[in-house]
Amino acid sequence: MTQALGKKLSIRSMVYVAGQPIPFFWPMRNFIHHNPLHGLEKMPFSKAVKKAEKLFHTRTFLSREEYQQYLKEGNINRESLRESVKQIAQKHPQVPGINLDEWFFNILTHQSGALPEDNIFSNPDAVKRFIDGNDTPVNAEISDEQLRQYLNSRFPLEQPVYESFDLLYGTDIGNELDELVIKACLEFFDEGQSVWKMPGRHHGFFKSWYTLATRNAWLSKRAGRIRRIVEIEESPEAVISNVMEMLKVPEEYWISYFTRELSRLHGWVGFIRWRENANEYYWAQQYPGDLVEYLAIRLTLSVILLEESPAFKELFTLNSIRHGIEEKTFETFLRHELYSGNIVPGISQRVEETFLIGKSNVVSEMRDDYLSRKVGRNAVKTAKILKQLAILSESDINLAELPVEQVEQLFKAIKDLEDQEGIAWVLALESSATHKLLNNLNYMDQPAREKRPFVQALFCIDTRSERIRRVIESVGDYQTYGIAGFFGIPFSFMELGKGSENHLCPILLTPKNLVLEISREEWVVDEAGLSALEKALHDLKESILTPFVTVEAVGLLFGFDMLGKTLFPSVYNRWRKHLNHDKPATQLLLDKLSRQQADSIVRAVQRAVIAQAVENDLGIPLENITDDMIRELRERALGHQRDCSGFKDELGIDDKDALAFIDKLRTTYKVNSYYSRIQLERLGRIGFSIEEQTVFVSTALRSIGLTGQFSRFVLLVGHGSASENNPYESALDCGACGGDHGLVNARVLAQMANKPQVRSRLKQQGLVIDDDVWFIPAFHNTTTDELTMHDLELLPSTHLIYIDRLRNGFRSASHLCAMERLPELQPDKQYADPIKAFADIQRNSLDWSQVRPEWGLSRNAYFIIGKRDMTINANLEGRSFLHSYDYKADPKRRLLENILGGPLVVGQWINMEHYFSTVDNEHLGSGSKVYHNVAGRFGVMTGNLSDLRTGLPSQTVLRNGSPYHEPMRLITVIQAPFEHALKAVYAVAAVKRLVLNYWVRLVIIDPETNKIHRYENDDWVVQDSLENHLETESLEEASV
Amino acid sequence: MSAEWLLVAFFFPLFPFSMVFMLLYKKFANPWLKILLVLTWPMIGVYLVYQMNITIPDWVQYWAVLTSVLYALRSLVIRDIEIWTAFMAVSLWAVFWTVYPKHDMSMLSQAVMGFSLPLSMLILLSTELRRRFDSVYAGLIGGIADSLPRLSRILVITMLAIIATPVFPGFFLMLVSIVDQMLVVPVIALTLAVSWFLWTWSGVRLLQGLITGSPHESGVEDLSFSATLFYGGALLAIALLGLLLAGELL
Repeated sequence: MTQALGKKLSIRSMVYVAGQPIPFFWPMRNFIHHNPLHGLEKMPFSKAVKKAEKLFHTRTFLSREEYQQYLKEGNINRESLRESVKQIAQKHPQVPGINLDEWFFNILTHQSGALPEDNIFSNPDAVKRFIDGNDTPVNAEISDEQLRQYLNSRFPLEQPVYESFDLLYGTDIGNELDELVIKACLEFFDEGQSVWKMPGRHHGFFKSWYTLATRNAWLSKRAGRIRRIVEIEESPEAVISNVMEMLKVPEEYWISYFTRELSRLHGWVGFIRWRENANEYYWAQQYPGDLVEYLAIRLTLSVILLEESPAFKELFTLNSIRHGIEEKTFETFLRHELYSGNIVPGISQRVEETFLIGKSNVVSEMRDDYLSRKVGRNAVKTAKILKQLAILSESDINLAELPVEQVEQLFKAIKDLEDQEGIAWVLALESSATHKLLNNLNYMDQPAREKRPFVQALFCIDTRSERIRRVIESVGDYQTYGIAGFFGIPFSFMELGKGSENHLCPILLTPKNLVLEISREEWVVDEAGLSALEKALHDLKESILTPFVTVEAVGLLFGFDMLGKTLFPSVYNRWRKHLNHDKPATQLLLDKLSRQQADSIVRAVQRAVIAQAVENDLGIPLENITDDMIRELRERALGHQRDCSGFKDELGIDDKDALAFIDKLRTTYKVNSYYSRIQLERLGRIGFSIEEQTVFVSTALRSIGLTGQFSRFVLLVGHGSASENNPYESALDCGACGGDHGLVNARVLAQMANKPQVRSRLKQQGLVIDDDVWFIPAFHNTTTDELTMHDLELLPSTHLIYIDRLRNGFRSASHLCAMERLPELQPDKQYADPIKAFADIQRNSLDWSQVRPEWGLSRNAYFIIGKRDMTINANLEGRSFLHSYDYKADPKRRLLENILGGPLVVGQWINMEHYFSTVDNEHLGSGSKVYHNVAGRFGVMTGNLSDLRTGLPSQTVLRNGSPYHEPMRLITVIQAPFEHALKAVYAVAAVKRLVLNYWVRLVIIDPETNKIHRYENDDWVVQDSLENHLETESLEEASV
Repeated sequence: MSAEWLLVAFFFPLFPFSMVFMLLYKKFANPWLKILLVLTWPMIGVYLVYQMNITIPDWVQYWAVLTSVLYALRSLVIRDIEIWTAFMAVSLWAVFWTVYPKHDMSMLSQAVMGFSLPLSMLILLSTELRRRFDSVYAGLIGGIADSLPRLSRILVITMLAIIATPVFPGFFLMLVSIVDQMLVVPVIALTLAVSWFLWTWSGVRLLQGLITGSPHESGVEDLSFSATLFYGGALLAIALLGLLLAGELL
């Protein structure tokens, strides 16, 4: 009997809801920085991290020792820390003789190690006894009912049954299940990495897995069991429902149970979630697979593994756990203690041997002894810590004189501090960073320029641009601006020689327009030969037979390559480049096609296809096919004409054959009116109308406040990285350009802005760009800090004489930037020569063994929206996103809202990705690159089998095991009148939520009132004047 | 043929005579007594074999290698380091039944020391762990590679010495034993190889529970520099012993 549709839909919606906390994982080919806790952003940050700790079994703050190190280095504001602990201490009743503020502060700044958990094993009487020096065994006095409550909290109903089983029997079903599921995912979702492909994938994930699983030798002993579960009803929804009923999980807990299941492999689940929503993704269209199917496979395998375990005779269900807790309370408790790692150490071997004997009475005999030891151990640890604290705080109190109730109060107060210390540390770190920034900003307007600068350069807001901007401003008369790396123009791009589109815009946007790259010169490439060679090499490398067959023949070639790129990367790579065809000079097709032009293209394509079809299918040579014949066939295929007598007669075929051929033209060759419409639609996507181009140029320039005094050269600098053997290369590219290089975006805007028709329309709108102003696209290689200009062949001849000065300026800037940046990458080397530093940095980008070609966006801390004048004298150490903005040019706040809704959100994702990858690199980062293996061509795993690694690798955020990136929330500064900024923030719902929930820390600098507004403790804290801020800071420094 | 060789079965332990050693080992709570036991117990066997000229039947070798495999197999699931040491001791010493007929007393004494010294070191290291964590139970401690780098490195090398990896004495002894037996009694050679494999497996399993993972506790003191030098020196001496043994055996 098939499951009712309603029930299926109900299961689907449960799975949908259950998967919400798991963030998307985009294929790494275009790495997208994202907040791993994006699904929890509706909650305040402090609550969200607590939930994440339980859901992902992760930590969300650094360890106390690491924060103490920051304190030693002066990166933490002591006063802010004191203030935070004071707020926590105030919530607790004071213990006479104990200054709780002081104790708390000393715990955070000098103590390591935490108090034991506050649970039924916390016994203030026992603690008091140990403080008094009485170390005789403790009488635990814990009832079975208390143990049951404790166990019920340890085995919640939403906990997967096999996890409970592992905790009670010391099995490893959870990890075994993960391995089986990962293998199934690797086989199904592969995108061309495997030479041997999984059969039947077009049937969908669940069906293809089931077909294979019941025939797979590896799973053959389980085939019967799988069949038995799935044969009840073959749909994945029915399987989920049946398995959950077998496991006796109440339906009201299914959603949270599913969430726990899904969060075990959150990388794979995030990828499947993304994929099922990516309607245009090729692989998803070819081989559809969704979360419901994933869960069905997972639950099926979990039941089978439970059934197979010898530790339990029948299927272990939720009822088995409940029965164990009710009927064999102490035995269940002791099992949990042993296999969860909480066992009292001195007795662990005895407990293990007791379970081996398997006699219940022996277990029961241990009850009093074990509980006494457990309580005693907790009490000893607590007493030790309290005594240490008393000494540290130079407290006059004699702890031994405290009554039991006050010992308990003290314990609970300290536990509360430990619970909240993470956020206290982060607040202090942010406070210090905010003070440092505000002290470095310039609050006075710069005097107006008398003449236009030599060059104006628009850089991406990326933190790496801050350094090059600062350096380039120092080497000449350069004026720089910050703008989102896609320059405000979302489009899809089809590169020369490629058949697919890339979206060169933030992931939040879906581009409507397509830009094509066409060659300006003839480009002859033996594509078939090259691709055949590449395919052969790929297959060789992936084949298991290769070592036996080809290593002697081909090994030397690979060995030569390996030696070259290892020992002499710069020289070898320069030589290798000569083997590849240079890409020819290209042009971007970004003007809209007219209707006539599009029709003409479609007509031409269809005529060519028909001619080819006649030749292939009817065997008629091309020279015998006339235009009229083709026209008639085309009209007939499109349904514009009923008769094709001319054609039949000329070719001598009968009605039946003619009709069959027409039918084939329509179905196989797609010469039909439906497909014509699709082709026209697609052609309609190409390019931008003049009006659109005008809007984009105007918006881009106005958003950064560049509305007059244009230089002769306006450089549009996109950025990207260059590295070898780096699956994370895309993470170092421009996030605003969908994880790609930003050069194409720069070329597009430059081409638009140089168009006379666009300038004429801009002039009508009041934005006058002189005729001698030329927009040049440029590329900033963030790995080497090289700056190169492009499309110089389009430059007017009058401008050529200045190019050398430009190039020299760029070269100097690159060298100086390398010298500033290199000590962070190679701290043990000293650099006095910028040229040498530049050469070393270039080598970095070519070295395939280099796990850290650059630090990327590590240490990002600020997002500043305002004029360059404010930051012109500040060395922000490459830690700030800088978006130029002039509130005076934006009375309706539209531009500010765009900046907040787009670039700021992307900046926040980047910041949170770095934050969580730093605080727990193993669970929320991707671990060490050294152990990474590419999976399916869309992700990486650690080792040969693991969850898809999300987040950033350790080499990006850690140095020698310690944090290099300082994990704190993005400090966002808006330079605008308070009301103006606030209204813009509130107008963008996503940003309002981020601010009010403290996912970003907002500071508004009002240049008209000279006040600084900070959002803290659910309110706006105002500093009377900027001068007072500077005074306050110096007073604080004096008091520390 | 007399049954005097049965006396040797206590000291080059054969199951069930091995239970005497196990009982004594468990009884001695003091680590120095344990070390004394581990160092002297098999030496008594050496003395008995050579000084008393006891004749041992050939078939005893089968019993010996089966004892070795039995204890090696059992050691796979043991997570208490001290108990693991005892099981490994029995498994290792049982191998001497296949070795002794071909070598003199001096050689066999060196071989015995080659096995027993690393075991003694492991007992010492267990006390270091117990002092810090109140436990020597793998899985409960965990992550000491991060929290105690010196101690973990010494522990790993000691373990490698016990499970007979080069250049430690056990490696050469096992290699020569297996090669010799392969030509004479292949079944015994194969069983020795199985034993060796099981030692490696159980040693790595134990290390996995101690070395890898996140540290369970913070602020624990590592080995001092002088203690590290002492242990390092001892391991070097054992390695040199191995090389000497290699020269004599090969």
